[in-house]
Amino acid sequence: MKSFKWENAVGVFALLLFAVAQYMALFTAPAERHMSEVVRILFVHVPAAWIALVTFTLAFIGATGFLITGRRGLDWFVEASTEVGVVMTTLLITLGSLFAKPTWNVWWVWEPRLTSTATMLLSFVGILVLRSTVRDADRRAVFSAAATILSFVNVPIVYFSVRWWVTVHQIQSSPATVDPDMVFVLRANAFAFLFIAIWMIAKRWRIAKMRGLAETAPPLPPEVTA
Amino acid sequence: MNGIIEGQTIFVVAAYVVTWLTLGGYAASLLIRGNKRPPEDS
Amino acid sequence: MDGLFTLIVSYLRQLARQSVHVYRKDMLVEWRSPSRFLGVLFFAFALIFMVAFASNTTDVMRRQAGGSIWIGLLLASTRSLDQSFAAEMEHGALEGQVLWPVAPPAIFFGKAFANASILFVVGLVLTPFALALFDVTPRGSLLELGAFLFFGSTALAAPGTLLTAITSQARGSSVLLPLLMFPLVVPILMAAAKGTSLVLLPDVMDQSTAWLVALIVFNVIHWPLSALLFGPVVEGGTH
Repeated sequence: MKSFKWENAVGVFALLLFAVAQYMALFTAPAERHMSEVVRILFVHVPAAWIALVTFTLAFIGATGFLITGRRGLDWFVEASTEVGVVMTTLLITLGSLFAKPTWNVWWVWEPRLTSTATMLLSFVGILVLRSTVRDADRRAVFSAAATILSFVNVPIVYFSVRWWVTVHQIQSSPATVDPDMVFVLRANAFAFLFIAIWMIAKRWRIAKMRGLAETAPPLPPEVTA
Repeated sequence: MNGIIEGQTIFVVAAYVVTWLTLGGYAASLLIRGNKRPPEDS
Repeated sequence: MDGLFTLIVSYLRQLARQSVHVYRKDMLVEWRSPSRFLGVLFFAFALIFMVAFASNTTDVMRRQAGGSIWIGLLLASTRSLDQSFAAEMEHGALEGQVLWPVAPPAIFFGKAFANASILFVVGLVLTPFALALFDVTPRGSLLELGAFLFFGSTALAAPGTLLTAITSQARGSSVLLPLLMFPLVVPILMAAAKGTSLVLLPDVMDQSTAWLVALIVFNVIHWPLSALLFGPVVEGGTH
């Protein structure tokens, strides 16, 4: 491996951006104009939500690519982005609860977005468990790719069925009118989260690669497809 | 949305602490796992 | 253009023929020793019974009847699916089928439809008893109730069969299957339970047909997708 690792540069940049963005979110954003201080939670909640969806989308693309090409690297990528996605989604749901309690006085609402997020988290945790129980590297890769595709396709289905299911209940939504200052802070945080996620996936990919290479001592030809 | 809710700063503090701990904790686990060599069987 | 059309038709015909063979084989195994069917049936019975004990008043029970039937069928389906592949794994029978000139999607369609059939029959036997236990007289048409049972069974069986093909090759499959399957079947369970309840209880706004359509749409999504993914899953490890 080359001695210079590009993700470390990304990591340093992400850390700096994150520090600035978090400072703005906590101290300079004019939160009181809207819903008091509680609105500041959205500066971490919304980026976590966006990035969680991005990482699972990456896992889906990686899984599809793996089933078509059979490249080991894509399987490691699926493993990396799934794990980062699970971390982000867990964070997102926790932050959502912390926002819901002071605003709507409940920790949980049976609402489409919440319910489909929780279902998505369960699915992908299941895939991580699946990965840990299959020893054979080829099978593990194919199985988790298939399960990833199935789980990802399921997300919009859950979303729309719950939306239909709860039409009798009212659907909660975030404030629609957002200040331009707030938008800027939100974007800054979203980019910080994005670069953090890129660093995490790259780092996790290297771990998966290291383990994968140790697992299959005699190297397989790259054309060995699933 | 009725707007003004006061004295809920504790939730904001909790949210940011949770964020830093989660991201920091996972990043630490990545660094630790990345430095550990897998056991050599062959 | 014509040539391509004939090619597709002949492929589909072959696929259908092979699927029917696999289906017949699975049903024959079931017919010769219906232990799996009976086991699953009584498992579902026991579940319904327990749900009845767990809910305190008859009024609550009545409203829960539709959902309880589907919880019973869902949990029963995990047992049934597990066993449908346990038999295949025992003597490497699945590997044998993959090595035959049988298209993997045909194996999938045959097995999944066999699983759906067993689940549907369990549902048909279970439902009258459940209705008696929960003291419910269906308000809607029995035909529609049957349609919910049928399409609900097929919708559970398609992703269920694919996931069992996966988990049966992993360690600790009995825990893994529900873990992977439950999040996937959330919309199916929702549509089936909601629709069944609407058939059983007065359906003021006439919504049950919409849920039936939703259930059929889930079938249309899950059957081809699972069939497509089944090939790599059963062939993947056999290098």
